[in-house]
Amino acid sequence: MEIVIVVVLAGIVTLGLVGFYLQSQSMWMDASTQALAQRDATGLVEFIRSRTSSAASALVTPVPPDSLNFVLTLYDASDNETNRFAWSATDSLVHHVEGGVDKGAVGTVIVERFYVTVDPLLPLVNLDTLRVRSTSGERVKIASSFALYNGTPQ
Amino acid sequence: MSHSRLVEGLDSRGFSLIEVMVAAVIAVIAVVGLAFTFSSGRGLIDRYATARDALEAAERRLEVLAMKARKDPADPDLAAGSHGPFALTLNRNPTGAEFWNVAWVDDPVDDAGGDAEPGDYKRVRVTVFWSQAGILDSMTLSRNYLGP
Repeated sequence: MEIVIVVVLAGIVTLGLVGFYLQSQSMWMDASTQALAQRDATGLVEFIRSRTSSAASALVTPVPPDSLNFVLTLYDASDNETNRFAWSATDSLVHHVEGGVDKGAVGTVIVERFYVTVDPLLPLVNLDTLRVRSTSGERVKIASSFALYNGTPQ
Repeated sequence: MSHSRLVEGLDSRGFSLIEVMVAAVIAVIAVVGLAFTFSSGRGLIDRYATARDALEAAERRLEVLAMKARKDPADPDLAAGSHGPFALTLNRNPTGAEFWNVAWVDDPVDDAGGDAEPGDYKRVRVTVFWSQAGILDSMTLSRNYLGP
């Protein structure tokens, strides 16, 4: 009788340990991929900020077909294009274009929404929604604004 | 001879049921403790997701105020005193809010011989706060703007 109880108890504990291991691995993967997504999102925002601060004006154009994502183009005081941040429907990444050359995607995290507007009066670029998705499906949203310090308020 | 001594030295009684149950309970407690540390780590990741959005919200407010200060230093949003709080949604967390305080700062560099206008520039402190898992959290950034 005792051996049966011991075997049952050992089985329950073993099942618990296996379940715990699988659950902890899943949680660990979710957490680490979300942390990576957050880091990439913050990196993208700060990269855009660094380029926007030296620009004089900006233009946003929607990306077809749904126009929910945008291309942000930055200009200097002579209206020459300096930098462009383009959401690509092909790979769902935000690409940095400098001097007309695609320098590649900024970060590797999937960008589900890159919604940008421009306030020409202040002037200011508003990143109203940056929503990224980690490889495990967790979503992270960030919003910010970037001043065009070489622009002229109107 | 040595073999028989070894057999005699072994405890043939094994573990009792009570001992096994106590060991099982201890193992379960240890596993539950480990599981708690994992969920705590997961909670911290979520907390920092909101904190990152809060940081960007504070940066956003400072950038807007910076451009308002350039456009019109007498903008009402830059009047000395407290502004807000205004509700914010941070990374799908609706409990966020922001407020900012504007205070005049006297730069001692022009104090020699008496300073007729001690308000040389404005210090803006933007605070974003939110609640997550019942814990109130906040973040404050400050920046100086030239006064009118």
